[in-house]
Amino acid sequence: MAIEIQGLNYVYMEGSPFEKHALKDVNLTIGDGEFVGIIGHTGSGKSTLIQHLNGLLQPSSGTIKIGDMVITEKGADMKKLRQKVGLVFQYPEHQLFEETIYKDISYGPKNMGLSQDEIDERVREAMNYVGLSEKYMNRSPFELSGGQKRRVAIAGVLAMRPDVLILDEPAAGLDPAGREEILTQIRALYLERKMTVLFVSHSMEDVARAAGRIIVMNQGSVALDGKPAEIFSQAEALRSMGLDVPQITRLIDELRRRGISLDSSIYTIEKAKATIQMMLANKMNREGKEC
Amino acid sequence: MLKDITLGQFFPIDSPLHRMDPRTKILLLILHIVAIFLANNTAGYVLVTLFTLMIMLLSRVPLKMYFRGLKPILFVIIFTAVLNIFLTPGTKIELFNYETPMTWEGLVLAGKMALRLVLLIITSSALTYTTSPIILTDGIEKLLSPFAKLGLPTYELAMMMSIAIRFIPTLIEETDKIMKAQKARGADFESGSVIRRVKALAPMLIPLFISAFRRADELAVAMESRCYQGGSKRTRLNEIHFASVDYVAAAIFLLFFAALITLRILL
Ligand SMILES: Nc1ncnc2c1ncn2[C@@H]1O[C@H](COP(=O)(O)OP(=O)(O)O)[C@@H](O)[C@H]1O
Ligand SMILES: [Mg+2]
Repeated sequence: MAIEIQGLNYVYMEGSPFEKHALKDVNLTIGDGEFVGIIGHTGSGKSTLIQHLNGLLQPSSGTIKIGDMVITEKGADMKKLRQKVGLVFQYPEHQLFEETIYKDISYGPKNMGLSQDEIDERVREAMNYVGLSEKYMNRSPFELSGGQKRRVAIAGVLAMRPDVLILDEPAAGLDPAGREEILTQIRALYLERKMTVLFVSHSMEDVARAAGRIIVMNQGSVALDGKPAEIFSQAEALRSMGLDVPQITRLIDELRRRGISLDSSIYTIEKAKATIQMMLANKMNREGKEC
Repeated sequence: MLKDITLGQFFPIDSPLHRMDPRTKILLLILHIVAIFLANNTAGYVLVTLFTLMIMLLSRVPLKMYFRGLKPILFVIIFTAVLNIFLTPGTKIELFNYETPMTWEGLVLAGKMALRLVLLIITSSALTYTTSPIILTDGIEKLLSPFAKLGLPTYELAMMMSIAIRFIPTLIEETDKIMKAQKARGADFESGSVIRRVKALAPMLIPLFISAFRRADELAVAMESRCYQGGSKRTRLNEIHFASVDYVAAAIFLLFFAALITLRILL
């Protein structure tokens, strides 16, 4: 489902001395089936932006269109919108409340008024997507580890089968293994379900690996927007916004400066490894040595 | 909605009122409230009103903030005024040759009461606008310290107060976040029968309680691990003390108070 944002402005506590202009004239078009990474320094307006996309915040000015529904109009059907656009908040495990994992995940589908059979099917499917085995179904969500709680919470949104999935820092505060797992699952889900995914993060590595397009927010505006390779070639601009390129890009830059001819658009460890191995193999062939 | 609540509304700027010691401000506020009720003639009312206006200006807080603070009690003011106008015995007001149930005495009394209420709210807001919650509790603790000898746990009371005040904005923010998260899962807090709405609160209240307990626990551990101990031997980073601005304020206030009493006796 495509998203069109035009002239979006948002001001917190308008008219009070604590007024904060959090979004300034944001214009974006996100195509159906894109996987977009949104990065930016803390306070750059990422969370504010995504809360507009399922109507939790109403813009101070501007319009937003999701699919063919203009959600900023008076009387827009919020219930329908929230079934189409699933939003996973930052630290979503803090919103768990039911006695069992099964009940918690079925909260969303239940609010949609689905039949018991349908709910059951969706809960099982969602648990499967996030890699929670069915034996957990009747356990309390509060007995789980942090990473598992988070997966329950994400499943709670997936069970609504949204067309657009938005995740606000889904990997924040997890250990490296937990991060890896969640990112892989999101990526797999994206490939399988062909949904539009918006992925908010401030980790360059995570975004670099997963997203096909990156939007950089800075002080409430869209500062950069493009393919990962285009974004990471602007190391100076990123640094001025308090961000950094992935470590592997820095390594490649350093190697290039030392006269080793490498493609400057490498930004994942996998690709760097493959390229360097190939280069070494070529070099050995040329020198006629055995590997 | 929730974001409109500006509790413990401290206004962090610099003004003579901000620089005053909290104890002076609390004591003068109490005296000022007495003064508001001492005024019993036109000159007295004018004097109290002008003095309150001076406090408002001296605080350098935008006047519209004071008027915003009045909004929540507007209903109370109007309600008492209406009661006074209709229920006070006296000369009936005539409108277009008809005798109405309203009285002139009631009208005057309503005006006086409304003025007193407004002045009361404004001066109390002046205290919270110009004093940070932490300093305010410091002041209250110091003022209560004589009662410590009688066994009143003043230190603990003050500590509990500052922790409570400190966490109000945090909990409001948390509530807002949880409500949004549940709305994203299709929760509906605003429609349906009363029973349905009460039931709909569980997905919000349970996470809120869990988070409040977690925060309390974390705070306790953090305090414990820094060897926190209550009691009178604790010193402060920012000790409050009286300065020249307090003496000047006290002098001005006493002059005003004396003038008011003179007016009450003479007129
Ligand atoms: N509920 C709120 N009330 C007032 N200001 C807010 C609120 N939420 C966010 N802000 C402010 O809006 C700006 C953008 O915040 P946010 O969208 O949360 O940034 P990010 O998610 O990129 O860290 C920040 O300056 C923040 O302080
Ligand atoms: Mg954020």
